Amino acid sequence: MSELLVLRERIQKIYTSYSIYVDKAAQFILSFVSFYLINQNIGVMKTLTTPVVTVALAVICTFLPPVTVALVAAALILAHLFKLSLGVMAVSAMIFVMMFIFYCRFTPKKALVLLITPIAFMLHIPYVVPVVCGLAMTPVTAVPIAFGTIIYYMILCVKNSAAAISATEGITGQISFFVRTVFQNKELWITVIAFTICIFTVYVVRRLSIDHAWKAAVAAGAVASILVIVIGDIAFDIHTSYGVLIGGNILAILIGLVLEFFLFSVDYSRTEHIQYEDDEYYYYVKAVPKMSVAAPEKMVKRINERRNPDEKESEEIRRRAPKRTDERKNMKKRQTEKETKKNSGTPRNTRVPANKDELLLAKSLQDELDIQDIVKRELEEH
Amino acid sequence: MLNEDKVKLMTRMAMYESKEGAEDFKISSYYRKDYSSFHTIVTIILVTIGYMIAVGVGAVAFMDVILENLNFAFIIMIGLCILTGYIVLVVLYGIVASQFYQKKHNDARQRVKKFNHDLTRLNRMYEREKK
Repeated sequence: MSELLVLRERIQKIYTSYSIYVDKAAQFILSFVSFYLINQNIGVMKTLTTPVVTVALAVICTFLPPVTVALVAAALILAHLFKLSLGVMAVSAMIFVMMFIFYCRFTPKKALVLLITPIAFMLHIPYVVPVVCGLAMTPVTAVPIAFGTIIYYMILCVKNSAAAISATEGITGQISFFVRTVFQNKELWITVIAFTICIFTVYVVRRLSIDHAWKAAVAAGAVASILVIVIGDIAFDIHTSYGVLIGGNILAILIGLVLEFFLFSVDYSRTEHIQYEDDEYYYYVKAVPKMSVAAPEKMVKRINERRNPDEKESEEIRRRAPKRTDERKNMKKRQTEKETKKNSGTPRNTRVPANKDELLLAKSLQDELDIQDIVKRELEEH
Repeated sequence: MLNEDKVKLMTRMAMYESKEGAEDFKISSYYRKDYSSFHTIVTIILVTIGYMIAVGVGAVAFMDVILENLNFAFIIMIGLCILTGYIVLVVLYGIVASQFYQKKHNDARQRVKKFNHDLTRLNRMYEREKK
């Protein structure tokens, strides 16, 4: 375990050192995979499906803000749909506008979730998305995941029924066919419901103050997802692939555990329960320590190092340096001594005495001595 | 000679200006109530448009079901459902948008205040250097 923690520390250290390059590389990969998969699935406009265009678009998106990837992907989908049917493109554009109005206006930075969901579907790992979003984000991500699922089923409809759409007469007929095929698909709605329940389950369970909350959340999310889809499958006769469903959820659990290791690594064996109160509340606090190990740093010691004359000179300077500092210290000491001598005649009123009792005792003794002197003087005078 | 504190301060300010600064200055030029009210109204208008699109798409998608059950009671029921959905959505988005933009304004205002504080500190540093 400690080796894994060291590895985590090293990975984090490397990421912090090269975060700019890592982020840009991730953005390039995401852009390229997105555009490639879109072209593979609905590549009706042949000019855009060439590798040169795909790479060029990915490179351009790498140097722009991450939201641009989602926008370019949407534009690419619309371009392909335009080639297929003007009506289908118009409806798709309207649906994209609707998504922008209902979600992207508020959090444009999280628009990437909208893009990642259909990509995960195309890579046959859709069940990973709600689990990861439930662990690392808020339940609001249910909205972009639902929209992302709709986008995927739009792409799937075009992929499976491109010929049927083209064969349908008139723009109205094409629109009607496309919209009916997408939105009357029960699998789409079952998936949306399953993902929404999964996100909420993961989010609620991971926030519970129970031991191993994250592991429980991942497992609960996966089970909820499987249950809802199986019930939907039985009730509406959808014919879902159980292999993909169970395999995808096992993968979601594994990725969830990896995520837990990086984001929420705690040692439950050293949990402390503290109870205290103030004027208004009783507090029952559970403190779970984080697991962290400092990555060992390698020290390279050079033996028989070659020296050049410049280095010798610098060493000579270094050897002399402490002498100077000693001189400076002596000078400072002398100065402070002078200052204290000067100030001794005029004691500061603002200074707070260190021990009041001692001072009071000294003062009373002084008073007694003064009285004795006065008595002696008076006796001598008489 | 380079003043390390000054360089740190200027870097922090430049980073802020290049990232969130432009938007924050624009937001903080409004009163909080004006800003949140304006954006809530815009959101309600946009939600209305979005809802109309959604209803339109839904109508096209389930046209066959609608045509099969086309009678007066069904139309009234569908109309009521659409109206209820619209009212719920507008109220929900109105509340969410109002809270969201108020928080956005508050956050922007805090950041601008901090920036102004840094600016004053920098000015003091320059004055000290001149002396």
